[in-house]
Amino acid sequence: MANRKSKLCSLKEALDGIGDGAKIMAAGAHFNNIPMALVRELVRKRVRGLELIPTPSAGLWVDMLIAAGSVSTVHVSYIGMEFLGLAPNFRRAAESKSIAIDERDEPTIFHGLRATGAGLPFVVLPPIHKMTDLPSVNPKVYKEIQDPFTGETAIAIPPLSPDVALIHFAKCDEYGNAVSAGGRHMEDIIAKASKRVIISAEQIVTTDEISATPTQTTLPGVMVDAVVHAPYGCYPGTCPGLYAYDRTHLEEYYELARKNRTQAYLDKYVYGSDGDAALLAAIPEGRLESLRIV
Amino acid sequence: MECSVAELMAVAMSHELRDDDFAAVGAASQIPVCALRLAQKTHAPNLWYLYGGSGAVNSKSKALVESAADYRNLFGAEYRAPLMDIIDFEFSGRFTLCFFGGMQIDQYGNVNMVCIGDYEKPVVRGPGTVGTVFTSSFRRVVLYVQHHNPRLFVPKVDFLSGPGFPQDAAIERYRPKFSEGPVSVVTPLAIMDFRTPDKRMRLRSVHPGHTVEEVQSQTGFELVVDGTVPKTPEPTAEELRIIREEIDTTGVLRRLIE
Repeated sequence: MANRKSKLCSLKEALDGIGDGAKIMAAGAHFNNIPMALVRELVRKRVRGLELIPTPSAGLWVDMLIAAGSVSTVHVSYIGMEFLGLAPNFRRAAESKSIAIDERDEPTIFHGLRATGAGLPFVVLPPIHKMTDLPSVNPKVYKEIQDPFTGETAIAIPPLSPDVALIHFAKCDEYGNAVSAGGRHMEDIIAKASKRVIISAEQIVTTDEISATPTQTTLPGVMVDAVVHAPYGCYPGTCPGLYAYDRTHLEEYYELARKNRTQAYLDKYVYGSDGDAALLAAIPEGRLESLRIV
Repeated sequence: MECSVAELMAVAMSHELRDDDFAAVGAASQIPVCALRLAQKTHAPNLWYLYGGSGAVNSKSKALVESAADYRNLFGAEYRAPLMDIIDFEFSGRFTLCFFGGMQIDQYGNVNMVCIGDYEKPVVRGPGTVGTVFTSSFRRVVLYVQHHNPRLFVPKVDFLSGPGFPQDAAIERYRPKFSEGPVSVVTPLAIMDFRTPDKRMRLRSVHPGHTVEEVQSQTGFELVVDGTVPKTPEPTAEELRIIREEIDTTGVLRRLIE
């Protein structure tokens, strides 16, 4: 009998094949559940011209990849640093036009992904975007159509299809059956829309453990291509159920970013080693323990 | 009783909530979160509320956390709504009230989250529209900001991301029938509303310690003033006790606004 194939691999192997110009999506909302270990590996890959498709509320990972010089286009719903303020590298790049912006919003990103995931040619929305400036600055996305049933105006939006999705979980097995301790946000929506799905997890568990409580599996492995073991994979953000965001570290990033010195941050915490060894070694003793959520 | 301006705003915002509301807040929303909790503990025990980002429904965390997206909001919550639920509720009119902020707000309640200056050559690039298009489809929208100055309150927003009251019937007809649009604006100086024939912003009340003239001078357009403008009611001792002992136990709102 042939063996079931494990998807477990290293950070480096997981990101193999991501080239210049790839369309990348990462999960998470604000500082909650962002796959930072995978993002840091993407920074280390030094690819160029990436098209980023963030979730409706994103910031840190987009800002970091822009600072690393890896980005040419960002689909924007919200790019900011929530309670810290505007995203400094995103702001500079947008104002100086060194990146292109695909101006969107929460429902358009969400339903664009739904279209791809559900195999729909496009999605129809009520005409409320006609009350905003979005259709005038992004006419290729917000298309006015006539409702064939009522004759009323509606808005059609096109499918959104990331080449690669990056998602972090509290735990998963080697086949990619994954559990988010914070419950589903939109990880399933992202995975269904993406050509290649790379996940990382705090803990790799046996399939028996997954099978003991299958209703708690928030993403089935059938949609997953690669699995990476990445402890503190959301750091300095929050990993639901396990640890909170590190405000001190986020402020360090933010202050350097504001002064246009993100390179110093990247040199110290991202380029300093293969994987996250340099980052984890540089965090003051006791800090990680203090972030644990009971 | 002495209270901070953020506490006063939270109490005023709690008075906007009704017992049959299903309300929503977005990120970094300590003042509206306090308003929701206070309303539920006082006049609106049947209120339901949702925090965007974490998806927490009826969260009862012991302290105000600085991010509505924080997983810890799920402590004591009754449900974790995935983003699909939230967007469905937003489009279908199931949410009856939402609190929204903005980089700019204009005299007709339009909100801008995208840019200051020309879109093609922005002086400040903002975070983006997020869910502000839904100011058109929440049944009631309460706008709130932590600053009140002429750079924020402008005659016309530089980018319209959240619809207020369009002065064009051809645009207004796109608003879902169930939506009233913005009903009030709460700031550190005053409360405004849109109870005017042409839906222009009107000064409803001025907070204790401030004057109509001061509010007008900090607003970049002429506010409608009809008759004598009342003072915003101060929080009662009981409201402040509930906030400090049961909701904001770490005193976030006592430090939030200078």
